[in-house]
Amino acid sequence: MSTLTLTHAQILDPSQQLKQFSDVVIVDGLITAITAAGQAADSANVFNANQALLLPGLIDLSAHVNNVASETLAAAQGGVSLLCTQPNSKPIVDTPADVSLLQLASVKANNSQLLPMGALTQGLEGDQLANMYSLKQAGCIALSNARAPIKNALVLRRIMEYATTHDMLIMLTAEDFDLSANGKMHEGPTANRLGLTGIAEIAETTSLAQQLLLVELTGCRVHFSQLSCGRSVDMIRQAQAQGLPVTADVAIANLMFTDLDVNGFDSTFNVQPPLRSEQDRQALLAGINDGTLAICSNHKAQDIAAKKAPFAAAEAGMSILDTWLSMMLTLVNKGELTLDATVNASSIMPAKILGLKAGLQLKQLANLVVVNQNAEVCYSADSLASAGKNSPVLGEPLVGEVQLTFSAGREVYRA
Amino acid sequence: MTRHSDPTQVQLTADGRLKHFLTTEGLSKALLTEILDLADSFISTQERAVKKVPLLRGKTVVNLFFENSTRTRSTFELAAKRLSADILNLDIASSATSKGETLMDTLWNLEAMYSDMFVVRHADSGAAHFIAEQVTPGVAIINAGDGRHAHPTQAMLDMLTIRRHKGTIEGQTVAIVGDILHSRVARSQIHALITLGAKEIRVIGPATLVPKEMADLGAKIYFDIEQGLADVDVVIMLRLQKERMSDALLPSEGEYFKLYGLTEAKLALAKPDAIVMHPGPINRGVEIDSAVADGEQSVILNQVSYGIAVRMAVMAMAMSGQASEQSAVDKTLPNPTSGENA
Amino acid sequence: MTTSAFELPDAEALCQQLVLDVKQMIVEKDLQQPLLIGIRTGGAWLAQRLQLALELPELGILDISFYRDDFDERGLSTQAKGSELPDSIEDRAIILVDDVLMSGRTIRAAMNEIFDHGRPTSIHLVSLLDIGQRQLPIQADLVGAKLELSTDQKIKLSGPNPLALTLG
Repeated sequence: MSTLTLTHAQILDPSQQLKQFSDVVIVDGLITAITAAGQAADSANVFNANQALLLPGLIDLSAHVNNVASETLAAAQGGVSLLCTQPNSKPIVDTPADVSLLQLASVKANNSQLLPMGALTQGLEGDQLANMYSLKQAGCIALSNARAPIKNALVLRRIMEYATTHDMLIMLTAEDFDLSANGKMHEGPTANRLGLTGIAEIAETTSLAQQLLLVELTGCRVHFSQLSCGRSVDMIRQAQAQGLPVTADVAIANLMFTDLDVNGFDSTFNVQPPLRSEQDRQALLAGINDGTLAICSNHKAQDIAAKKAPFAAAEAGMSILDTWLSMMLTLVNKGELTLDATVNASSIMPAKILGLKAGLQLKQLANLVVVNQNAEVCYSADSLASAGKNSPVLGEPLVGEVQLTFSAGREVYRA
Repeated sequence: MTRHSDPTQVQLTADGRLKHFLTTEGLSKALLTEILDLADSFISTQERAVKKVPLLRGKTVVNLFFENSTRTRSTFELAAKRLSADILNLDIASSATSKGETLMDTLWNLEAMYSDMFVVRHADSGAAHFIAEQVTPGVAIINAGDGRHAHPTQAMLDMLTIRRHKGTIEGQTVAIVGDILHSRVARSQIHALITLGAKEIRVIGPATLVPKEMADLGAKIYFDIEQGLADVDVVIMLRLQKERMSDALLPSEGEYFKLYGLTEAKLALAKPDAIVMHPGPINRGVEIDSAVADGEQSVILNQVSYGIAVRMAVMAMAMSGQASEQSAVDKTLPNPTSGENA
Repeated sequence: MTTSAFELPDAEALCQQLVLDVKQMIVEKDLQQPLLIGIRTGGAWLAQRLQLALELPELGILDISFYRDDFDERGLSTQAKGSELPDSIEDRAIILVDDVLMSGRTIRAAMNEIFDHGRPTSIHLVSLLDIGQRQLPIQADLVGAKLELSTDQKIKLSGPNPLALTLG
């Protein structure tokens, strides 16, 4: 029996309206008690949180992981308890064997736990249905097409119908690939001035509209990955009000940056979906604050050579796992997000979407993070555990220093 | 939060001198005027029997053209030679990158040759800026055209043409006609025209080729060429590329010429002393009528000769800006190597 | 004669004396059809006066802006207008005229430019003032006046009419 008592922590769990100065007892990885601070029984193994925040651990709805050891460590250091991996790793996760490989690697790394997602179509080619049942049995928490195109609306309809048969959660991208062809950033004044091909808003909204209608027809549970347009948020709100089983997330980058950040052709800000206008960013922030959208990391490590090229020739993606929580707390610090909405969007909602237990519940495996909400932090390339140094916040003053992370009942990081 | 570099400031030394020439955007009126004045003085030298000046003697200039262009490349070559530089032409288009070598690797291989200046033309917007940021300090980069972003030497020779034929750029109404969407020339021209005090800039073409965001750059958009050309002082015709037909941007050259081709009748709508310009090469019968191209108001051939002088000017300025920055760096070192001052 | 800096000589008077001295030099050195070349701007004004006074048919103007050795520090002059020399200076006896001879670098640049145009038979240097402070082994054949200036003083010739010297 191993016991850890966390003391003097400011617990915040919106799923239980829990906000109190507390002690938490974890026995063999399970949360056994949450008491008022100083009330927990004496224990040999104590971690004094010193009034830091104790939150349900972050649950990442979308991360690209090619190197399990380094990226799960980055997650652990970043306060992320569970991460859903997109299936476009090497090899593509479209058979049960691929799923097992990932699960084994996750266990071996013994950092934050991976929740593998399977490919929605065979080979991610957008054409043939995946073996959804087998993948679900093998342990896939959801299926995703990883931003690859689905051949046409008919195939999409079939995918949704088949997924409904197995009550499988599918993650879809809202993107019309003909409208977005060759585009590398938001279509707008900045793209025009820089001479870069833009991706118009309608590439996302027309596709989203079509897919929502298909959801209405099929009743399929669909989660839309990484929306970027303010208009899309309205469409999701309306769909939810209508009772459609749809959810959506937004990448933290779209809450923090806009197309103006591409000025200077900095390939760090080459990301999919693209960073859009300030107006879009404000609408996305509002979508978090009113509980419509979840937040994900959209982490994608790239090596230096992949990013060291003129903007359009560089690979898209940002390394986020190490800094995700700090980035969100920085937005809270600036008053752009509320703390409650942030915790809800990055932990509670993802848990509910994935069908997992949300929050800090008794007799459940501990998934939690202790973080100094207002401690100043500044990340350098060396301080990132991720193999990808393509971070948009290197050298930027942020707030939020992770002290302790638990993933599926295991302590995976201590500062 | 932003952490990016301002593309325009990368071009300047701490005391505001040109050390790369990447874009006309963000450069002061004084600096642009300095380029024009220096180019003017080089025009005088080009008219003499002895055209060479020794400004870049002993320096190596490399033409790094990832996109084919005999014309632009040869004017840069001539400009370098008339500055007494040694020049090397590298047609990368056909060699290294087609073998999959990255731009960075190409650069590293070239730097081993110890050249002083690269003149770069590349299909990617931002390529010249990228190279300027990656290259060893002390090496000047001249942008000969990057994707759809900028073609600053062309814009400056166009400014010089307007100044020499209209006396000034201040107060002029300038129309740019054609494929604005894909034009790096148009973008560079618009920045320069605004900085140098043009009264009004009009972009004219079909909606498929004229993005609405051009208004954010300071231009007025016209879909009707007759309205657009009314009383303008300068008409700049852009080249139409054949690919635009297959990209569903235009139905045919014939229809384009009917709507936007510059004929004598359309030119008559402009001011009687309006000048006609074209960055070249011209497509007769597509964007411009032969009668106009060869007519009295056309200054197209002059543009070509001004091009050499303008390129001499920016090459000389950038090289001297780099040298002044390097000598400032040397002075801060504890034990400077023996190097005398003038 | 060497004069202290407080008494600036009269440029017009110096010029008139130089006309006589140049006339004499042309005879003594037997310069055949000498070609006057003045260095912009002060030297050019002087050369024009000499041409008029000596009734010589030709005049060359040299703009050494592009031959200077200090353009890295000072940038390029945008006032450069280019030189105006006759088509051929091959086998000509050149009389090079400048206003102030100091470090010698201007004359070095001028000679480089002349030789880029062709090969003269000879070059004789005439300078209105010689203020010393040479950095190169260059001397004038004829000088209007020698002056000693302190290191922070600069002298300037204004013109073309009248020619006058001022301290700056």
